[in-house]
Amino acid sequence: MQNERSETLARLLTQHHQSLFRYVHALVGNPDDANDVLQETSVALFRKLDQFDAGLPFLPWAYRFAYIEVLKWRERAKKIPLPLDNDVVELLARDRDRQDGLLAQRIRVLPECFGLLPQRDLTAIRSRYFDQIHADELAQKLGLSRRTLFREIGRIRRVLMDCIETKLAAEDF
Amino acid sequence: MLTDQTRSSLDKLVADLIDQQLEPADREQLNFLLRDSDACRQRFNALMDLQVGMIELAGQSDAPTVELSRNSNPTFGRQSWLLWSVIASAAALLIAVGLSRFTSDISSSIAVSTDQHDTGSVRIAQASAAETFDSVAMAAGQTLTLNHETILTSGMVQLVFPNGAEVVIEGPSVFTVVTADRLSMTTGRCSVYAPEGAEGFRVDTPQAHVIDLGTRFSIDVDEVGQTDVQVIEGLAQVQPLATSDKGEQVLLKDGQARRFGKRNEVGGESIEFESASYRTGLPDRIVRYAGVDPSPPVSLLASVTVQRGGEMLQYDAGELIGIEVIHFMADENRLNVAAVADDDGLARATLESDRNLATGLINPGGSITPLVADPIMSGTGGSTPGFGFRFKTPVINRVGPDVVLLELQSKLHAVGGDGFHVSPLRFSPDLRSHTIKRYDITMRSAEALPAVAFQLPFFTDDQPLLSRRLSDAARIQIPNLQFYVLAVGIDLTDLGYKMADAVEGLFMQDDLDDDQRMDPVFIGGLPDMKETVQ
Repeated sequence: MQNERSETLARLLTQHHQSLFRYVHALVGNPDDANDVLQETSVALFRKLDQFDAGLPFLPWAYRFAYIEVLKWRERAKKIPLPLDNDVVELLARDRDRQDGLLAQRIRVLPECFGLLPQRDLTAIRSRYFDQIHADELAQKLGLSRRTLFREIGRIRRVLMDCIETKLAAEDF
Repeated sequence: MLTDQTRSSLDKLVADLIDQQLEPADREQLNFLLRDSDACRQRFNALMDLQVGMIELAGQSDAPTVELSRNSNPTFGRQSWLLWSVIASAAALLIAVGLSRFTSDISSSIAVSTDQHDTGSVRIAQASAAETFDSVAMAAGQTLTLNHETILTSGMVQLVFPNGAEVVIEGPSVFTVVTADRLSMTTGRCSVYAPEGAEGFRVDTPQAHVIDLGTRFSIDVDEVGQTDVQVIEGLAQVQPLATSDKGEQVLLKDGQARRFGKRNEVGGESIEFESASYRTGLPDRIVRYAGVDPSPPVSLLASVTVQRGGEMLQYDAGELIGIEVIHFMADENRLNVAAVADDDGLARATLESDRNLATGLINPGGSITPLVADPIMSGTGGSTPGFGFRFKTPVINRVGPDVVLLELQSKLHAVGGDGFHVSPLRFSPDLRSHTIKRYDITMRSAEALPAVAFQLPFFTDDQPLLSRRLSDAARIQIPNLQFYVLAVGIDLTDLGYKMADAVEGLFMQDDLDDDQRMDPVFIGGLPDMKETVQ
């Protein structure tokens, strides 16, 4: 049913999938392409898993593969204007490697902050990004202008960012 | 540290990036900020992560979503996020990468919804192993959203339009339902049936508009848009696009076939007529199965629905003809039994006499080439890898599938199911082995249901498995992945049996096309006769 290699990979990917997804998502800019790139990354990891030193942490090793797959995806997609320039992607990837621990901490406290959002904000976020309702339609349903909807979502992001920072600062004390 | 102004500009740019609304000038500014400052990059990474975390949490929350109109798609977010568990599917991925890349020009939206009540919409009447590029399951009953491109990478779907027109589309195809009576085929093959009242139904291809005048016709569009039209019955009007400005039209009647392309002569070029190019419906197959418990995960098999000779038949599990395993030979893989906890019965009973879809005799041995002579089932070292079984009463060969096989599969493994060879127990000059590479219900089918949890007891000595009790297991492994139940029908005609031949048993071997072996959890013969169901 499963040979040892795919079992090991499945376990590692299950354990670290969120971190890998976030890494790729930040570098490609959208979840659909991030999923594609992550699939390619998993294939690359599967092929090279025997080179992985089980005594070392998995994520830094896996990020290298993910980064290469991001570059390959950029190469394939080069006819479309990509939002980020090559050198910027390189800088972001380097920074992500360095800030991995900090970024993980932020994600850890996010649920607590998210839980503080009022129902209306939850509905807006869920409808727009989870159910992927078109902005125009969502604005209409919520009785807002399109511009106000985006401003509201921007406000929610800012509230969450501030909340995360406050919680992390409190932990430092 | 960021100034308030920089932070505010950056936040807005990142939001536009997320909402895919970044204008060229914004793009320049975003890159400038990120290139310029560590603090900007730090906030960028944090904002992008926030977006991922937020969607995940929003999906888990019970916040009400706004009421959707028909054009919205309530499943998209979930699908998109679920897709992600596919990353754990190394083997599936190897297949996925082999697909050509359409990423640049597909709409990120999904073209199906589950609205089954709108009679004005275009509906999927049936789907057979249908897989789309974006992994959205296509299942009977779903409606298609207008103006959304669907990339059907394999399998077939039958669409029904509100005016009664029926279209069978075969993968690989790229198509869009444009209006309630118009289909656009970018590439691929479709067969159209327009009964009375559906005249005027139109299929657009890159090279022609084909208008139905009460007919059956097939259209085959190649990668450069060249369009072959074959009229099986009635009349179709073709407007070649290369000449449309001159009002050229070509009428094709039954038995006529023409090819329309950029370089062809006006009115297309005549090609050989092939009536076999037309499909009246989907192939015979296992359509679905159901568990006793109506809500997944599935445990005990309740029924199987099979299309045989074009007819839809439903069999209760109790009507299916059971088997007795007479031989089981694995290779080095010692995980050969999937069982429920605390079962101390015979290992063979997991496949033979129970309807539990999470238990069976798994990972049998196999061979790259199928058998051409009788398998050796002595139980000794020289035995043929694989497993043999007898039906409790012989199965009579009829049209379509005669035997149903269900197996366990995870997203980590081949999406189409584990390939296998099926052979007669005793060869004769008319009989042969048959190889099944693709199941009727695959990992991508909406009909594939998750299985209940199971465990993998295994034995460390070489005693024959068929005499073992599960309580003798040396150790037990517990899989930590979700497994699904796939299904395939076996048509005994494919092994050379003639209609009405009585078949006593079969031999099966994994086809060794990858590291994974087949994992059968239920095998049953179909009884001889049955009434049609809706």
